[in-house]
Amino acid sequence: MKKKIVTRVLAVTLATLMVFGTVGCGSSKKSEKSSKTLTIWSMGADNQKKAAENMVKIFQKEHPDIKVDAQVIPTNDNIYDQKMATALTAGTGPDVLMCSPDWYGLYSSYFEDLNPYVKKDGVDIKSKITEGMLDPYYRPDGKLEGLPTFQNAFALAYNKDMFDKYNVDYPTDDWTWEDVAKAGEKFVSGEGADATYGMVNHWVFNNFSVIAEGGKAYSKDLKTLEVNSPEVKKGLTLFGKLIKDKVIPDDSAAKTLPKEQLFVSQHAAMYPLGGFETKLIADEIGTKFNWDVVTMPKTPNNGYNNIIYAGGYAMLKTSKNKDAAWQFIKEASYDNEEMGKATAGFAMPGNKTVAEGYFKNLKYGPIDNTKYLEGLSNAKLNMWGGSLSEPGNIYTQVWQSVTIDGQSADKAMKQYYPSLKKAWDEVQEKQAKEN
Amino acid sequence: MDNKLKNSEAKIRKIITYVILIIAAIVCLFPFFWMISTSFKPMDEIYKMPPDWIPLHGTISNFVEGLKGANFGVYFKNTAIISFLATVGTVISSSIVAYGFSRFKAKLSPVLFMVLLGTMMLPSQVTLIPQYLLFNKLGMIDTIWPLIIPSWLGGGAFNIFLFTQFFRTLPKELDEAAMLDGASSFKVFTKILLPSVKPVMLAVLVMSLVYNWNDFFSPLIYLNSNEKFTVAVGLQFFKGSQGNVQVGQMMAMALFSLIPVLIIFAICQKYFIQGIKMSGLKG
Repeated sequence: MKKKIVTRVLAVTLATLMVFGTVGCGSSKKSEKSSKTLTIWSMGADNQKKAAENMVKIFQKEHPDIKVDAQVIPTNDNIYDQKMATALTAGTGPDVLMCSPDWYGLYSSYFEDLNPYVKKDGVDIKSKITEGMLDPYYRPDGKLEGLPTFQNAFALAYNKDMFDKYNVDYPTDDWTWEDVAKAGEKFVSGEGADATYGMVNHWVFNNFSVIAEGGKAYSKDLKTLEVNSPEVKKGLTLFGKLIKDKVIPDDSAAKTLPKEQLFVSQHAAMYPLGGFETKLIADEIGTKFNWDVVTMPKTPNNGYNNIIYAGGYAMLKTSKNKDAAWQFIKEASYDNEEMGKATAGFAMPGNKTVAEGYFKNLKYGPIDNTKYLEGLSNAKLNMWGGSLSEPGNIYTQVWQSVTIDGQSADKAMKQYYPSLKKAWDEVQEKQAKEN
Repeated sequence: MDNKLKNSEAKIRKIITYVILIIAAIVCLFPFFWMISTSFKPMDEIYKMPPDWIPLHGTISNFVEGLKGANFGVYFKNTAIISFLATVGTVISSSIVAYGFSRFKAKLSPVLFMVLLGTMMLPSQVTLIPQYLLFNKLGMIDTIWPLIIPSWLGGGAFNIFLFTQFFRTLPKELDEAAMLDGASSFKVFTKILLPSVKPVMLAVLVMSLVYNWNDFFSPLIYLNSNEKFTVAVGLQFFKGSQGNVQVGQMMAMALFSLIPVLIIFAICQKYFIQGIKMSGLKG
C-alpha cells in the first residue's frame, strides 16, 4: 500500500515536472521569436504604471505591425535598478529601457547614441520637446542617450483654511524660504498626535537644503564639487532650525504619520507638492478644506529654486529592433500626442504641445498645472542620482547629522566633507577612465 | 508546610512564565493584527491617532481595488506553482544528499560537509551574477526554472544539515538488517530511513514553502514578464517610486497572500516543532 503511495507521489511529481518542462521549452521557443518583438521595460507603480501601460496600448494600436512585449517593473527601494543592473551586465536587457537623466551617465555605455536617428529624421526636436527637458539627456561628449518622456517639479501647496484660522497671510510666488520659516512658526502647537506643524517633512528637502540659500552641489559641467560652501551650510542650518523649532516634524514624528496624511488631516499647513503626487493629494483632500499652490520659494541671486525628477526612454545597443525601438522612443517623447496625454496623468509630458495645452489645463481639485510649468524656469535635476549616488549618500549623512542629530552645519560638513570629496574624486576618476 | 510553600512558588513561577509568554505573543502578533485591521480600513482611518483597532467604517474596498490594481490572481497561481515544485525538490534532494553524508563514508566526506556548511555563510548577492549568467546561457531567463531547479540540486545547505543531523541519530543496525534481507541502498533510504524522519521532512517542507512563497529577490531578477511575477514582487506595485504607499491595498493583498502559508503551517505545526526538536536545533 505504502509502495503504491510513494510510487504515485513520484509519478505525479515527475508528470508535473514534465508538463512544466514543456512550458519551459515553449518559453525558449518564444525567446527565439523575441528577436522580432520589441521589448520595453518601464518603471513605476500606481499612476506611473498605468501611464506606461496606456502609452504602450496607444503605440500598439497605431503600429499593429510591431509586436510589443512591454513590462512595468516596480521601482520602490531600488528594485528597478537591481533588476536592470543585472540584466544589463548579462546582456539580457530589453530593446527599450526607461531611464533617467539623473543617472548621470551611469549606464551610458549600454545605450545607443540617438543623434544619428534624430539626424536621419531631420526634425528639430528641441522645438518639439518641452523646454529644458532635452538637455539633460546629452552626455558631455555630445552623445544623446535617451529622449525625455516626463518630468516633475514641485509647487508649494498650502491649506487656505489653516492660514485663515491662524491669521497668516497666504504664500505668494515671491516668498523666500525665510518667509516660509516665519509663517510656519505661527502654526506650531500641540504635542504628539495633536501636534500641528508649519510644513510636512518631505524627502525632497535633502535636495532643497543645497539650493535653498543659493548653493550648488557642483559645477554645471559636473567637474567641481561645490557643496562645502557657506550657501549650502546656510541651507542646512535653515532646515535644521525649521526642525528644531518644530515648524517641520522631526524624523521620528515624520515616521509616525506619512507626509500626505499630515497635510490632508490638517496637521501641517504647507506641502512641497511634487507633480507626481498632485492627483493623489487632491483626491484625498476632496472637499475637506480649501487649498492652493504657489511656485516654490525664491532663492538668493536667482539661483535654482526647484528640483526635477525626470524619466525617458533609451535604446540598448544590444537591441535587434532598432527601427521599432526608435519609433517608440520618439513617439513616447514628442511625436505622438495621445501618448503624451497618457503621460500627463502623472507628470509633465515631454511632448511640448501636450505639456503647454492639455497638461497645463488639467485640474486637480482647485489647482491646475500652471505652477509646475512656471517652476521649471529655475529648476535643478535631482542632484545625487546614478553615478553620483555615493557622494549623495554621504551628503545624506551630513543632512541627517544636522536635522536628526542636531549638529551644526559647519561641524557636520567638517566631519563628512573629506569622505564626500573622496567619493566625488572617485566618480571623476572612473568617468575619466571610461572616456 | 514546606510542600505548600513549594507549591505556591511553583504556581507563581508558572504565572510569571505565562504572563511573559502572553506579552511576547502580543508583541509578536501585533504587526499581524495591525495588518488585518488596516486591510479593512478606509484611508482616513489608517493613520488615525490614537488608532482604532477595530475599523469604524469597515470596508472590503482595499481587497477589491488591490485585486483590480495588480494582476493578483495570476501572481497567486505563479507563486503556488513555483512554491510547490521548489518545495518538493527541496525535500527530495536535500534528504538524498543528507543520506549520502550520514551513511556513506569517503575520504573527503568531512571536508565536503564543511564546504557545504560554509556555503551557508555566502550571501546570495555574491552568487547572483554567475548564477544569472548560467541560467541565461541555458535560455531560462523569464521562465520559472531558475526558481525551481536549484531546489532539485541539493535543496540548500541548511536543509541537508537538518536531515543529516537526524539520520545520524538513527542506528546503523536498521540499515544493516534491511541489507541482510536483500534491500538496496536506495530501498534502505526510501523504506527504512525516510519513514523515520517524517517530522524533519515536514519541518523542511514548511520552511521551504514559506521561503519560496515569500521570496522576492530571485523572482524579481529572473522574471521579466508581469504575467509571470509572484505575489512578493506584485506587492511592490503598491509602493510608488516617490514614497507614496497604498497601505490599505498592500495590507489587504499581503493578508490574502499569507492565508495559504498560514493554513499549511497550522496543519504541520506539530510536526514542524517536533522536527526542529529532534534534529537537535532547539535552544
